[in-house]
Amino acid sequence: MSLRAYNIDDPSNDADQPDALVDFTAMLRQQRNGGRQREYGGWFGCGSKMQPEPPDQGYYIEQYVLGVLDFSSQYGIDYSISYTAANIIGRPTKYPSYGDYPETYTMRTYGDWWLKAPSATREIQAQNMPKVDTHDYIVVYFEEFVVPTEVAIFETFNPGAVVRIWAYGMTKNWTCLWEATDNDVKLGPGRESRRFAPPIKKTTIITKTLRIDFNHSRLFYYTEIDAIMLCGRTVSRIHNLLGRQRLQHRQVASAPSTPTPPSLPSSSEESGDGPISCKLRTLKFQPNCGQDGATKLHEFINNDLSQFLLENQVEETAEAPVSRLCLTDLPFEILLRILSYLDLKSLFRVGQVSRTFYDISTHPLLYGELSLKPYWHLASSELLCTLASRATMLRKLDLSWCGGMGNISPTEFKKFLTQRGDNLTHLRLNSCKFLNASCIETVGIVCDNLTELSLRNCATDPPLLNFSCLANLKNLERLDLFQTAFETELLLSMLESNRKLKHLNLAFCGVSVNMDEVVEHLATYNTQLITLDLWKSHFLTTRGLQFITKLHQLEELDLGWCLRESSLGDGLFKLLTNCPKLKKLFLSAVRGTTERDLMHIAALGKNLEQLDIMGMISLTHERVYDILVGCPKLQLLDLSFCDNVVDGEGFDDLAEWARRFNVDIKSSRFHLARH
Amino acid sequence: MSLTPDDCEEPKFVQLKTCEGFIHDVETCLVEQMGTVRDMLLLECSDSTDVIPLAKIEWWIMKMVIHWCRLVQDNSAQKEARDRSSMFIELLEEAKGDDEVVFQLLLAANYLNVESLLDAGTQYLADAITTCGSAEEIRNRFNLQNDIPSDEYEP
Repeated sequence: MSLRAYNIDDPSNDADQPDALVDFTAMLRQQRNGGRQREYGGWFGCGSKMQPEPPDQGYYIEQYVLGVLDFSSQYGIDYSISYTAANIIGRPTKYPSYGDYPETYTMRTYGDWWLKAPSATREIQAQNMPKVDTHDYIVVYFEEFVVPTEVAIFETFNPGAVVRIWAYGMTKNWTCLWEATDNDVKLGPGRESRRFAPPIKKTTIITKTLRIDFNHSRLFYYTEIDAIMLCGRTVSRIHNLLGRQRLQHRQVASAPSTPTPPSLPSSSEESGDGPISCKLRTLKFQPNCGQDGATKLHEFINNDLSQFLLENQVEETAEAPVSRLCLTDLPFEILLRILSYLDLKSLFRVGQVSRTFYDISTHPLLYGELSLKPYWHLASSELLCTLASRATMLRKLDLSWCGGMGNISPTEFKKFLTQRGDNLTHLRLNSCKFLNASCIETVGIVCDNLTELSLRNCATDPPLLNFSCLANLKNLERLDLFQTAFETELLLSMLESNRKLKHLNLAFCGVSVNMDEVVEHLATYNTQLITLDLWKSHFLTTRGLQFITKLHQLEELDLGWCLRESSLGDGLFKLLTNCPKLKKLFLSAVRGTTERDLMHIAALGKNLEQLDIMGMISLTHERVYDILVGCPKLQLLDLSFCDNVVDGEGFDDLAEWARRFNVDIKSSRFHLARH
Repeated sequence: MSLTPDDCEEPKFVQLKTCEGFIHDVETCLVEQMGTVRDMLLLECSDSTDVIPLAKIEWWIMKMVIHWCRLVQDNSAQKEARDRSSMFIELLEEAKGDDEVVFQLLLAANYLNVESLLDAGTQYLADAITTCGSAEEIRNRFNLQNDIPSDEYEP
């Protein structure tokens, strides 16, 4: 009998892996030695059942998430149990069932709808982004340290968003265990739940913390994760091992990273006066005893061969002139232009090529925009320091996701900002864990030219934004406080000072905010507002809605889960009349929406492109049809939980309408794409 | 550019003379892509009947630039940068060109102010750099000398 019988919920876990058999034998041996559980860790509230003296060889365990350290976004609100990150803890509750279940972890966005919305932003230093970039992430931890052998992600709805798996080793470094290729992302997975366990890198790191990266641009609807499992071999005598690993790490770090071009054996030199021997003469011959002789030879052949070929080519083609141009013969502006296309990593690499290239690669014009977000796992105080000396013309800075495990100190950040922040126009510090009140204060004092400030997912207790630190900012056009708590007074004073505000995101800002007061301010001071996100602002009332109707430039409005009242009055009618430019309107779970309101939408929503009326139980087919006819620019229509319409016979009509009107109709129950 | 691509129905020609004395007849609409020449014509430094001297350009490079301008015009329907890159690679392969040719093209594009060619050429070289995994590979790829002493390496 296999102990695996306990795991009835992963049918795909078969005994094909040779590892499993070996471990089983070892376990049997251990069991005889005095009984131990095979699987523990990751249970709610269960302590470790480890023996006081574990044996030398580790044992193989499978464990589920014990806790969540961080996540970039979730659909539900913190104190709720629906669709929140906390649902990823523990065993899967729904798998292998497939469907839209609130007991899972769901992120706020899906597909590319948010990228098409009026509130979309452009990436800073876009050339740094990898081909398959990360939209969202979650960081989870487990009970036991293991050398990972498998990571399994239980997807119960719209699978296919996982693009990277990272592990945090005991040496305080992140290792990427797996990364999706272009092909992985292209193949659309089916509409079935799956236990996604891609082949991870063979490694000796010891970890109990994982980060999963998501990219949902190809998804039809929300993806939902039920659980994550980390399998691996535990290590006994962790401290000894830790010592050994740290020693190895230090050795690796101190080894010179190709200091000089490989020392060429002079005996194989063919042309005595060739450029190679000239090169040799200018170098100090530094034998590296540790290097492999074959490698040296290989590199030597490479050098010589390319030179030989070049000479040959010039002789053959009679047409081409023999001027032998080199890259460095190009004028400075062209070289600068070439380097301006490079991502930061390549730029640093180029800087090591030669003195000339070092000078060009450190030119301030190449550091007008700086994004360390794709390098979140490498970003450190030292890197900031290096960049500070180059970025004298810095205008846009993105440090999102950096400094997670203490790699960036608040002091270094403040120093950087004080040196280079005065001309900043765009600053993004999403999920920056190193931020404290003092950092925010520095932002407020130094960066008075800011037009965009993004502080997503910066919720701390007490809230970061809790005194007049940012009151100095007067030029803001975009303020993003998604999932960040703030003191209402501060926000109100900021609204008063920033009359040019165009984009405001207050989703998940917390229950303590009097949203009616906030929108009253908007109606007075910020009438140029174009996009407004108030997702989950439960205490926004119809009175507040009346104020919103004064924002005539509105193109995007998200009132999901707001307005918990039985009736909206004429609020929606007024909104549609006064805001004709409205392109995106989300009324998810706004229970007060009536049939009449929908008729108004159909009549007045001429520019609507995205409409979410999730949860309208009384919705009828006729209203849906009216809306499809009346809103010719509609691309997205979310009808989840509009039970009257999505169940039963009406389905065929909806499918046909989706095609005819070229609209994606979304629902938790079915997929109706326009093609 | 003042002319739309469709305006080349009745081509008017401009004569460009390269450094060897070779004269190229080029349709005016293609010449519009060459900022330097276009400005010369605008400022009436020379009549369109005169021959415009371009002493810094050699004839075979001029041919390639003209070919590029024609490619761009033909492809004017699809203006995405991606297409330009593959067009550039095609151009290079046709001429069996190496880095040498790329550099010459860039110098010519710089002198003649052909923005699209400058873009495509610099992007091509940037892509070549990003495929290199280390500074050493970059040196090998472009035949560059390393003049940084080992003790001066920056973090």
